[in-house]
Amino acid sequence: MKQITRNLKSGILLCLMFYSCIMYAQKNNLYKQDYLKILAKNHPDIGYTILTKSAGGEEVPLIKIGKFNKGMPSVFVAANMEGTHQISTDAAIWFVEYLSKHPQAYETKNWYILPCGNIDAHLRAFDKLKTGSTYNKTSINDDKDDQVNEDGPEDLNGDGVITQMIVKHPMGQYIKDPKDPRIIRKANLAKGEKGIYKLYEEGFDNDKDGLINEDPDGGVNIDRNFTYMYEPFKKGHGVWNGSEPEAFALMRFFAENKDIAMSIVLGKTNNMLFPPKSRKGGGIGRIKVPAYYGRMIGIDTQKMYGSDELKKVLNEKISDKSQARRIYMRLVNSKKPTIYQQEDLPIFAAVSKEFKSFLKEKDFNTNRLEDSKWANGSFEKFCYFQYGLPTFSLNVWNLPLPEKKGKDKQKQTPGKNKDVDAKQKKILAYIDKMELDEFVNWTKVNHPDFKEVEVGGLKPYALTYPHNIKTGQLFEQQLPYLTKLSDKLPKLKMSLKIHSKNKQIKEVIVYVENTGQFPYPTYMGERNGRPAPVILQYVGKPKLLSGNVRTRISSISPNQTLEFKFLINAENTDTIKFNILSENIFVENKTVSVQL
Amino acid sequence: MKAIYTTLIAICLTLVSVGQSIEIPLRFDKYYTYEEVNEALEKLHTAYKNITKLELVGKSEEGRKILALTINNPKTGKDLDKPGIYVDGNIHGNEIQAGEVCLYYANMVLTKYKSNPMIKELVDRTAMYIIPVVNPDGRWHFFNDGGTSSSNRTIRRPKDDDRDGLIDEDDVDDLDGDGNICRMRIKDPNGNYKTDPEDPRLMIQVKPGEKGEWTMLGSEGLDNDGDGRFNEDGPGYVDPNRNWPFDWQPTFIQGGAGDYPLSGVGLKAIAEFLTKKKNILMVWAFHNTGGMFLRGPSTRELVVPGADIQVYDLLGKNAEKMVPGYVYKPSYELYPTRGDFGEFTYHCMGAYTFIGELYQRRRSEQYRNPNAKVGEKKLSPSHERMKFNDHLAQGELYKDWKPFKHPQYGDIEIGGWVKFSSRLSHTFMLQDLVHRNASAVLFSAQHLPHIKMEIFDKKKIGKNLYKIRVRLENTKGISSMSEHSWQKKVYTPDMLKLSGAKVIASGLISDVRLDKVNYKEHKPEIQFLRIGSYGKLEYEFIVEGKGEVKLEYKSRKANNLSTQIIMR
Repeated sequence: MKQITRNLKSGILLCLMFYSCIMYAQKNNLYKQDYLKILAKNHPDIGYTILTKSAGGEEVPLIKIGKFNKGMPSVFVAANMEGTHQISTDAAIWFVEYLSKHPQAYETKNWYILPCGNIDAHLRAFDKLKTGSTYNKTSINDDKDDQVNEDGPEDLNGDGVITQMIVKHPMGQYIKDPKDPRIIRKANLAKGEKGIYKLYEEGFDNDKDGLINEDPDGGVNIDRNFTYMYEPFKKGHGVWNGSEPEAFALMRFFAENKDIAMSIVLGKTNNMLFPPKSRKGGGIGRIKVPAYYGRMIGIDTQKMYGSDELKKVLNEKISDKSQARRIYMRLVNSKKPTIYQQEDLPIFAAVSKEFKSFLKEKDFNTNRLEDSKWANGSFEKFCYFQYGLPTFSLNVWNLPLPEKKGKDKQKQTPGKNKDVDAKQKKILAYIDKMELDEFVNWTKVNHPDFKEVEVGGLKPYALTYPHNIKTGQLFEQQLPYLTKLSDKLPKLKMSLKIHSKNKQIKEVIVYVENTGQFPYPTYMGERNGRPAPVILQYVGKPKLLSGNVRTRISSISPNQTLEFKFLINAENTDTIKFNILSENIFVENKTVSVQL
Repeated sequence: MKAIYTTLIAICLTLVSVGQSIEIPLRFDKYYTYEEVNEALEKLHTAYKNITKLELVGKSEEGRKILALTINNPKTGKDLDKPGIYVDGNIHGNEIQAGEVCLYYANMVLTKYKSNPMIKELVDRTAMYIIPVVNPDGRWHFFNDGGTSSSNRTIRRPKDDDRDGLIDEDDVDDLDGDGNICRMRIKDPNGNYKTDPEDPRLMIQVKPGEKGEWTMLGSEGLDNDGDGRFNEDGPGYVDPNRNWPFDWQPTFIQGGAGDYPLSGVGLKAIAEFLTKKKNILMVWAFHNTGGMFLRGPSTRELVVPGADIQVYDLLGKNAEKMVPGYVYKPSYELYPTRGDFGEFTYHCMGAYTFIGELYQRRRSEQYRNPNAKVGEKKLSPSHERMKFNDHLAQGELYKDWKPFKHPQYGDIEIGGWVKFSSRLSHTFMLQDLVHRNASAVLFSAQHLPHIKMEIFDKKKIGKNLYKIRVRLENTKGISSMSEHSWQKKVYTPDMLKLSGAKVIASGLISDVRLDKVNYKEHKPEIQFLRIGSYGKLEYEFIVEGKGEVKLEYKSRKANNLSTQIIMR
């Protein structure tokens, strides 16, 4: 019977794999909910849950993988938060399948996988007319006129995609680049160039208000609707942070699931290949202690203190260490962090280095167009700043660049416009080399508002998929590293030493070691106080003469060992116990007990 | 026999409750419990069914109802078609008199509706929304649990305040069971305090080098979790006035912010209620304490445009005069806050918002001779307060020190100011407090925009070509839309729309005598606008056609207008 069941199971798995191959072959499939449901149904450790319903009424699936034993850390993988990066959704689904076959990846942790954070926008990619919109289906009057969603784009040249439109106009600022007329760029007035065209998105002025496509269908870009550094009153950002059901549900999920110990964002950003660099303002800088605290604590308020110096002076002056820590954090947090914290940069640098060598082994070309930067109000910033999680981002594919050779090495050209032009050139060179149908050549089209216009440009969703390599192969090369990355999470180990001061008084030293490769928590996590606390708990009848029943382990670096001393009034026969209580760290031995 | 007793008891209880039943007009010589507030709202609604609506907005964390009373005369139009004012209170559970101001406002407006022509006119042209208790759990626990005047401020969302992995495990404890959390003191020859020789209930700090008698041990309570700290992790700590989604910041930047904006279930329900009431242009949210009328911005980084400050000044400076001693000022001057309700209603809803901080203790709890001669000895503030308690509050505000056997400290004494002191006015002063503040609200309601439209010129300027000039005038002090909402495009502005003929051109007249008109380039049939405080705007339409055309003024937050013109 067991054999039959086993055969049946492997049969189902084979069918699933075959099915998945077909699915991956079909790029234009939806986000494969049915596939995920079947996978979950046939696997004891995979759960298919609905996070919420999108503004457009679509279910947002969230896959849970693991045993979900209490106190086990979890990794949250979110994909395609902007909704226009389908390959990230495919990657997330591939990864679910990968995990399903690698149970060791969820032995000491669990996984939450969100295959698509912005489903409404994602589904727009399968509309007959492709616009590339990042909006969900919330109805928003973008131009605040008398109508809602009245002026979206139109397919003037009938090619099924929305590109750009240039119109000859005396006030035009744009020209066609003389070297490559496909490139539309701003005229360089200093070099004697004069603008000819105005540049618009392809469409009509439907409501005759003088603006083209200013109020399309929808909506809000979910990846701009999160709390951290949210920018209000901007188009596509929503009426307030967390206004959209998709973002609100995720924020609630993070608040309710304290086991989340790491975030991985699959999308257009990529701090695994391009780790954050040291920037001014990344550290806490030098801090002036306000007069109020100065008087209270009795320290010099004229002086500027560095981080370590401040910690030291507060610890000297304040006997209650937790109070000293609280004041330190309050002083540090008087400046709102807006970039990666200097103290956290080594984490990202080390991961990037290891990831690159992992890719090298797989013969993966890492020389490519630089990925997008993380945006204000994005999910990624929310994870790092608000929750202090080690947050990694990965763009599974971007346009490969030719190998750099000696003289050809391009110097960085400063200036935003030049960067844009350089990027356009690289894209076109790639399209030409690969003979891709991703660029619509500029062609004349009649237009009701302007009589004659030219329509052309890069297609929406262009260059989000590779053309000479199968996505499965691409995922195979990169995604297994994510399990390796998750193994770096902090792990704690505890040991005890007892010194007898006399027959009755014992000193117990508890050593707690971090055998993982990441600190608990990140520096950002230390600042925001969000990661669930780790508590060393004393259990026993004998009275503590010094030390507390519950001691918080506030931070521990990788390979660091902390000692906690307790003075105990006990008879030799007493048994005492120490527990490590945590919600988001794997602890090798949660309990150590000893007879005194 | 048992059944008869039970029935008898039930009848007696019913009689007692009928005897205590709330009547209209409401009383303001007492504080209503949470249940009584709801009953009062129901009674008001029953007594004035024709012009009120009582709605369940949502439920709190512990499942208590949040009720909103709408005052609107449907005979004069739907509420959403009229300028709206919203009044709430008691977002902080302990700030209970804020709820009384709301009840008083509703009671005043409704009971005077028939007899007072000014109020009748106001009710007939506006819509009023009142939520007396935003934080029902807080109010309920304030009345029912032992506490200080600051207890139960927050919403009941559990939080591990001391980050020891245990949640809400070390609250204050009403050790003597008197319903109040007072102070604890212990005899200590090395203490910092000694008994005040003039009033043994008071203590004074010893001078350097002087021997003391007492050490203060803080608020009444136990170290419930044995961590060496007392009362450090009470129920909740999500401050409902830091949980709103404009300029919301995580807790490490703004304490009490909660996990995410609108994590409070009751607050989310109220936000949804307010989102539907698009006509609300004026908001009052009452708190205690300090005697202040606070307007935005709540931080120095936020900006309120000058045109909006003009409106605030009109209302705020008047309110200062109506409630003696209260100060009108920007909220950040008190202290900066983020994610508060006032910034949400101003920035996201486009409503002018005042935070009313009720009660000035020092000014109200007076025991002094205003005719005192120069040089005559005055009481110190603490002695004056004690005399006020003794002679005007009949000793109800202060509990004398009494010995208590504390399980952790041993022999201690418990005493001090009671829950219904400090931040709350004694009930004999309540009527004055609620009336003056509700009148300040009423004054602002009177200034909700009232727009008049007048066709002041109509000329034939060619074959089937007409020039029509129209004037829009706001006869009140609050603009039809805040300048901030206009600048940031928070919602669709007011519109002046001409239909029934082709509009060739239209524009805002900048100088009517010199015929200067700023023509609008596109869509001339609609002008988007806002009409400022007592503002006037004149527009010109050049129209092709003949016969009847329609001019409409549409506004989300002011009165809508429409008129017909015959072109001939």
